[in-house]
Amino acid sequence: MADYRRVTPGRSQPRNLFSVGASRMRAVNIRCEKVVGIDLGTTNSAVAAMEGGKPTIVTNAEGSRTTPSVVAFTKAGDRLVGQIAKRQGVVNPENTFFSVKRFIGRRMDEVKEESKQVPYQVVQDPNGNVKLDCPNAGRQFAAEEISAQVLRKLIDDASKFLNDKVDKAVITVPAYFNDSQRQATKDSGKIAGVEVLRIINEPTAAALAYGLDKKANETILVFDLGGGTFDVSILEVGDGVFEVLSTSGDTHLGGDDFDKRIVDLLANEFQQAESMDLRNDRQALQRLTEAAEKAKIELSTLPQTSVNLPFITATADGPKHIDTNITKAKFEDICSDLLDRCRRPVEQALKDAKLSLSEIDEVILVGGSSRIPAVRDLVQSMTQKEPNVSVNPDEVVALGAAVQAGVLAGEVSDIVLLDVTPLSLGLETLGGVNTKLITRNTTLPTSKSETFSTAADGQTSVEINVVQGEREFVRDCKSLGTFRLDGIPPAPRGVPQVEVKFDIDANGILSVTATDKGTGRQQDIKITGASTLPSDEVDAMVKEAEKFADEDKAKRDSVDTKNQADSMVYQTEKQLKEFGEKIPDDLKGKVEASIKVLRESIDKDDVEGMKANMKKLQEEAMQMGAAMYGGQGGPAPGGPEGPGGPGPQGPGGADGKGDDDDTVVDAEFKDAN
Amino acid sequence: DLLREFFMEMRAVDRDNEVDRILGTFKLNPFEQLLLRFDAGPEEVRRQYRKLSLMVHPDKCSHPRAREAFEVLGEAHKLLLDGERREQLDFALGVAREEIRKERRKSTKHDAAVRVAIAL
Repeated sequence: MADYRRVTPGRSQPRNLFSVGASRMRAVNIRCEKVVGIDLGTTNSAVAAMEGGKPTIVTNAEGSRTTPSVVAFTKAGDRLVGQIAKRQGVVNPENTFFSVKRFIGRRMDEVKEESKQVPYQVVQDPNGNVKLDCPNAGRQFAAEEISAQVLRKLIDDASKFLNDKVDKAVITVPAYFNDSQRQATKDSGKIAGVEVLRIINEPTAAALAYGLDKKANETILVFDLGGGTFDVSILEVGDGVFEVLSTSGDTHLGGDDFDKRIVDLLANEFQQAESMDLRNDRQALQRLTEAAEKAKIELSTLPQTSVNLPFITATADGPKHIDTNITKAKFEDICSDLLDRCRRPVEQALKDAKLSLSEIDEVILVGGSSRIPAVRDLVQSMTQKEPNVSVNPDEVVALGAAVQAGVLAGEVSDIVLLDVTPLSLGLETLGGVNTKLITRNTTLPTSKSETFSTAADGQTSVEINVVQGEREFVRDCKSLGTFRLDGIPPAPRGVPQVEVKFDIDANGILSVTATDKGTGRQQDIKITGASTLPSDEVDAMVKEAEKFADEDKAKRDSVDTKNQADSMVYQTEKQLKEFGEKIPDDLKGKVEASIKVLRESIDKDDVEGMKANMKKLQEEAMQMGAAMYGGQGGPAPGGPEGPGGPGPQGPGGADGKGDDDDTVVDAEFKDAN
Repeated sequence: DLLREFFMEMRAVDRDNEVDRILGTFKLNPFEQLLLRFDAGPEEVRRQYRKLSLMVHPDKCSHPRAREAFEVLGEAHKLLLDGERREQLDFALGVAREEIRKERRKSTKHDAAVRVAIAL
């Protein structure tokens, strides 16, 4: 008896668990939406998803594996995204936005240099934040909105490719992005209507994809030179744990800078010859930039390349052309200082990880610019190691993001990513000194509490300036905003105690909460002076984006209807012409009238009218068809071919028949009369 | 597949238990937090940290306090791998061990049975 009792609880427990498991599984089966990983690059973006336990690149609607991060607004008010936007950049430079990632989450004073390099207008809003002016749309855009357009396209294309709804994503950012830039990237996701599950760092993502099926413990260095940013991360990979030891980088260094050097070279040469600065001509600048990028890519495989730009501009003497050669040596010479700038972050990362070069097992190159031979040589000479080129530098980041998406969705088990914060978080204290609270390379998520008090009797609010950066003084660091604690009960100075908790989540994004230690009450915090969009503005943009999407749909709908109407008019007219004699005159007149009405509504772009008229015309065309076949079917009893003839023949066949049997049919017709 | 679900469920329970265990440990004892012997070397610390991270990281574990537990682990791991602080800790441990030995010697000074045991 006693035994029996002892057994039952033991048995019932697993059984319970089992049933829970079964019900959970049902839930898993219902869940069908996919989580994708998105590499939102400065120049190109890519999407990947987990398919059968492996990350796979998702191709876009045009069939390419990467999509240019370019958004353009045409004169007609259409929005173009991706390859088509990039292609029309030359003729529409003021309204074609590229390299927007350089401006996201930034204040105007941080991007003075960059704003001069782009052909579109970068302006400052009343808060000192960056806005992009678009004459064709007649308004200013935040960088977040432009990025959101790119994201929207990527997501739409991905859901088409995967044949599944996609509304959650993991988005990558350069490891050296600060809090504002991360927050801004997250906001773009929100504006695009996707839930951003996680913001992860690009080099970390690359390591995830690289180390997914490596079992051995390895220390790897990821060298990520992208279109606009440069990152170095050192990771320890083993037992399914991807632990970032240190991160360093430069957010103002990338492939665009190499292009810029070639542009300058060409423009200076031209200026010497023609005493005319092409950089002032937006269209010429755009053509130069494109040619420079092409030349740079070619110099990765060739020792010399030619740049040929006919009719680049015109002077009083006539049209001017650029036709010149650039050698690899020349290119490396003009970019030597850029290459030198790649060294410091590598050294810094090694120092922070407390490792020497000999302890690095593998060096992975990521980012399109790592294809430049001079960059490869630099890495090789610095690390004394042959860099690993087994990964595709354009795609590996998106693949890694997909892996992390799989981890978060529970599809991938036994892998965990331990990332770090790239920059120290500090507070401004007396004399403008940056007092560090959370040091860089601290594993995320992390939090730190600090107690504040008042400096004067009866003070009811405290202002805290939160900064991010390594420098000693606040003015050299990035201010994330001023947090204001309000509603402190009046008391002698030093008595109120407010505990402020700084919390950096796994995205690397800071949140601040404050509690009054005396009352235990949550304090209000107001943030001012941040370079991100306030949440109400983001909400407004979300609504606007939805409206845009609806408009787009309506527009596409109207274009489709118009095309349909056009082809219907054409076909009916063709039929009328071919079989006109067989159709009774009254019906013919009716059809012709309908065609005319439909034409008018096409010319007026009246979608509803087109639809109604199309329906009417269709009915009449059907009558027309009936009359045609009726005329033929009439003599059927007489002619042996009659019943068989029209039946199996499709409209396509009718054309062919019309030619050789014309006379025969006519004869039959006459017979019937 | 049903079996896989079952094991996943079991693992989730293990994870939750581990979070509770870590949060229940004495907050100044990194060895207990990481489930390590007092003489564990850096390699062991690293391995154990990875193993436990895989269990309690908030990405892997749905326990509402998983994050706290993970932060505790992180702190313990950092402390044990920081040469200077580890030395201090070992020194403190040594002192404490001596203290207890002394105490015990004192209290067992007049205990004949113990003296015999030592002599043997």
